[in-house]
Amino acid sequence: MYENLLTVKDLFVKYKSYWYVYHVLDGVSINVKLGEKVGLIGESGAGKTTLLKSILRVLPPQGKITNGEILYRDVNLLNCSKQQLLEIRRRKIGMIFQDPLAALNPVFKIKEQMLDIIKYAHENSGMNKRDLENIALDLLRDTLIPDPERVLNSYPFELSGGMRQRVVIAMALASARELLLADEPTTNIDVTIQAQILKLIMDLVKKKGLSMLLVSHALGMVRNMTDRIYVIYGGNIVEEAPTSKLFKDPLHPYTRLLIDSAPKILSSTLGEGIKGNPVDYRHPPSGCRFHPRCPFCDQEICRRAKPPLIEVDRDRYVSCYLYGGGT
Amino acid sequence: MSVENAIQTPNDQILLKVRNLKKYFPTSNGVVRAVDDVSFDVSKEETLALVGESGSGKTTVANVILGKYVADAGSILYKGYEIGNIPLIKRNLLLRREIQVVFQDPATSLNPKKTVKDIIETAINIHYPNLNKYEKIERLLILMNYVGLTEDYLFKLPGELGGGEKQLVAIARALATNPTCLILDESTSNLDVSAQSRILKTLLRIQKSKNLTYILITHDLAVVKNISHRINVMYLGKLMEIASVEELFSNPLHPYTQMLLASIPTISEEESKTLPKGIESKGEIPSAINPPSGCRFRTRCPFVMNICSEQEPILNEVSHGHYVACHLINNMKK
Repeated sequence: MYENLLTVKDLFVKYKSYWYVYHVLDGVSINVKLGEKVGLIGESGAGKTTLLKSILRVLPPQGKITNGEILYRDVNLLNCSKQQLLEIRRRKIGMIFQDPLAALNPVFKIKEQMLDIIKYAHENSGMNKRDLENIALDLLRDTLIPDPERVLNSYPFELSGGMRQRVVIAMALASARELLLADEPTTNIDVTIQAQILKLIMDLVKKKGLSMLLVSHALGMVRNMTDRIYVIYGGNIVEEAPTSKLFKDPLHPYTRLLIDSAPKILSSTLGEGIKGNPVDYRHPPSGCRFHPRCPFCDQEICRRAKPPLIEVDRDRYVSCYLYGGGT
Repeated sequence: MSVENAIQTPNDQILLKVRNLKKYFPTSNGVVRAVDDVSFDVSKEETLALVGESGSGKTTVANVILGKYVADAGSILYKGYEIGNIPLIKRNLLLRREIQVVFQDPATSLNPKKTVKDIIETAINIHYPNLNKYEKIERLLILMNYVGLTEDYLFKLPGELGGGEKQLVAIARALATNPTCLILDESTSNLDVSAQSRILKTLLRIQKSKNLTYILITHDLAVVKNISHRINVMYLGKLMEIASVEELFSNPLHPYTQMLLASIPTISEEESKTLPKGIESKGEIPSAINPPSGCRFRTRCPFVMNICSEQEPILNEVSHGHYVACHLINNMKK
């Protein structure tokens, strides 16, 4: 059976500002098995990127992990040595960042930026600069960039959005030998280019035998690319299910409303949307964090205690009192 | 066939007539042909969607209609009056009131230091300076009520609102002048689906009650399917296909349209079955400085023929209200 590659257990993350403390992640547990493609969906501000950044330990200085465990195979990333952490970041996990323009440094050529990553990914292998450059070219060729030599010698602003995204993917693949984290890889990209990029990521993940954690708010995209999905709302995992089952029969009220509000091509009736605003992390709602926006919330217990994630069907977990879990 | 005959809208109640519109931008590298000979009509009380990738000239068309740019050639007739050559600064209040716009990113289109009341009131003050204080407040509340914001929001700053609510404020501000035509420039593409669906519903409701005409600029075809009546597909400054929503989704003719439809990420199996298959997206939109000769889409088209590089296809009517600019379709008809 599958081996757990990445396990996040009961993770709490908060951000501190001058006046407030933002309680963002509130006991998040997820796992990614070897060779599995996992999706994480939720609105903006649900804590998706915070979770990814915690995994790589690249949270901004005001972000603090207060509780929990992040296991990569059997290394706990939260208290391993600096050397182990660097080893994992450089050779095991690669991340595709959200905004390709922001992920690339505008004053350096693509070549310098890529070699910088490849240099560490192939540390102590005795390669000279020419070899490293060839690796960079191979990575770019993998992403089907036309004319990789020219791209290597250009600055980021000389490339189009789709090309930049391909470069960022090539850079992520330089260090991703086992796990690829993709943080909204196609926001701000046209649908046609998006389709190309998604196909490319799928092909590369398959070819290199990677596991993937894909984070996005675009439901259709996650559906086409993953085996299993976590739904995150306000720093809580509210539902976990195999992709096909989740879209056919969503259980948690939030998931239902979310899928319902996505504009459909078949019917021309629009969903209701979800009333209210995302969670204010300074004063998160008591109990279930979704209860102020939930149309089914009529129990006092929703306001009092956080619903546990319970198994309602095979491989299906949901955190809602509608499915039991209350006393 | 002359263009005048070629592009007739299904009904003759025409609000906006765009004819042979050209807008070029000279740069140090050459002339960017952002909009190159585009003709279409917008009829009253309809939603016309302009669809295409970035760089296809959708926003430039909107900006010329709004008066941000002056057309280099061609004409824009609004209710029969030529407005394409009047820059915004020379437009009188009456004309400015008629056409309003809602931008993509509400976070940057609203002043972060002004309250919701100030933001909407500014528009009222400019366009209706003769109203007294109480009438202005009354108007303000009616507008907020229209978009579904309660009085609690009056003294909030944009920073205190969610993305969807900010966009509602932007819509209320646009409605403050009692416009006839509202240009929605990617108005919902930055929002989450949950907020997006609320905005779209509000827009539909307002359109019905105020008889508004919408020009919707977007690249999200699922949104287009839900709220618009007709679609103009643009590519590199040219119109590729014009059709009603039902026609375009059930019978897309231009290879580019098929490519766009095939690229939509779907959320159920049934949906993916209805979309065209076999046309895979490839390549990127070329530079508008040196567009390909002949048909501009030929560099990415899977069905490219010899004639495509030699001759530019003209927009031909294939069935009632359905226009396509493609040699392949024209040949088949013959």
